Amino acid sequence: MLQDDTPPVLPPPRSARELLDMYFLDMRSALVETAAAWDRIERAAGAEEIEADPRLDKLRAALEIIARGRGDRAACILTALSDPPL
Amino acid sequence: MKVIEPHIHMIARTTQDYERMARMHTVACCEPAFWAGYDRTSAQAFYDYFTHITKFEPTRAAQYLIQHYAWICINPKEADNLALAREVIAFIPEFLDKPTVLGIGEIGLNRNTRNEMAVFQEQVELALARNQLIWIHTPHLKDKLNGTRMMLDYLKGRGGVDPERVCFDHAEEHTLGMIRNAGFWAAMTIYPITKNSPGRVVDALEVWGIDHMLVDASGDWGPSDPGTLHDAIFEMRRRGHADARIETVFYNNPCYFLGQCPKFKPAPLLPREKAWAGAARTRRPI
Repeated sequence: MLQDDTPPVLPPPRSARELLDMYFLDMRSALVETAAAWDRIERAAGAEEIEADPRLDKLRAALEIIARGRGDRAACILTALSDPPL
Repeated sequence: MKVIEPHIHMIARTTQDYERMARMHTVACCEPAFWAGYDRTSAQAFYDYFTHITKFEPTRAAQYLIQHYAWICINPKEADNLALAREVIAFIPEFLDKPTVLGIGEIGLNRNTRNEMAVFQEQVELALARNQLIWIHTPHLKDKLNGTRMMLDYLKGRGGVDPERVCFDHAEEHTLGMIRNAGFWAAMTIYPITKNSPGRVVDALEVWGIDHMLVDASGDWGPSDPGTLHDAIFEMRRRGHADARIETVFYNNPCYFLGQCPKFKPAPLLPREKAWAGAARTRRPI
């Protein structure tokens, strides 16, 4: 999100451990929902036809960003899901 | 804690929503002109719509002690029809003089077409000629990044546009940087699925600071809820942020931006230099 090395202006008053406790179940749920929806699509008729759909490629790229990103995952995913620059 | 809703389409909401908003301490709301969910068939339909949001909605809101304000424009989606857009632009000045109209908005882009851009530019010129505030709609989903950049480049390149008087709405993590670094106000919309969640809005406030930032629910005829604004307030509180900071984001900041129009009546609780002290990212003097 930041385009330079400026630290957060309004640091979260809670510690990283407290925030993990607060958000772990939400994070878990969002990932499981994504996985389940993907499975659902693959179980349906014509699954092989949409295997190369660019939207799924973008989701694969987003999952890479989640796994390997640091500090700006949301911005990187939104950029990856955007049209290429004009 | 008093709350101002900077962007909501009350024409698409029930009276019960006004009641809920009032119970959640919303004291004012702003309604930018937008797409009705279908393309209007004539300029007259826009005239009627503008009449509705400048006459009927303020009356309906007042029953719940909520001040209702409006922004007037031809919206980006219908702007692709140049002839219709210009017919509408011709009578916009009549509405700019109404007592509750704050400026030109929500102008902007939808699919980033040449016609949309032409109409955006014409309405920017109208706003500048009449010293009006500007409220900008940035496109949805995959079009947002390019569309936001196109409008920023235009405004910066044109010159003579005071970024303090312009707000880019529907900002997300990938567009906040370019908006804020150019000195404009940024608004974040909490809207299920396609825009921000309460959690992401508070993330952005932590990263970018509370200055020049607005939050809205942008409730309309789609899946949306005026209560999400208040969900963001709760999210900020449960993360441990001070109530004074929260009140600045959800009440004082709308007063600072919208109050540049003398018709906007709510007053901030303290000067912005004090409200933003220690929580502002803006490097130039505020």
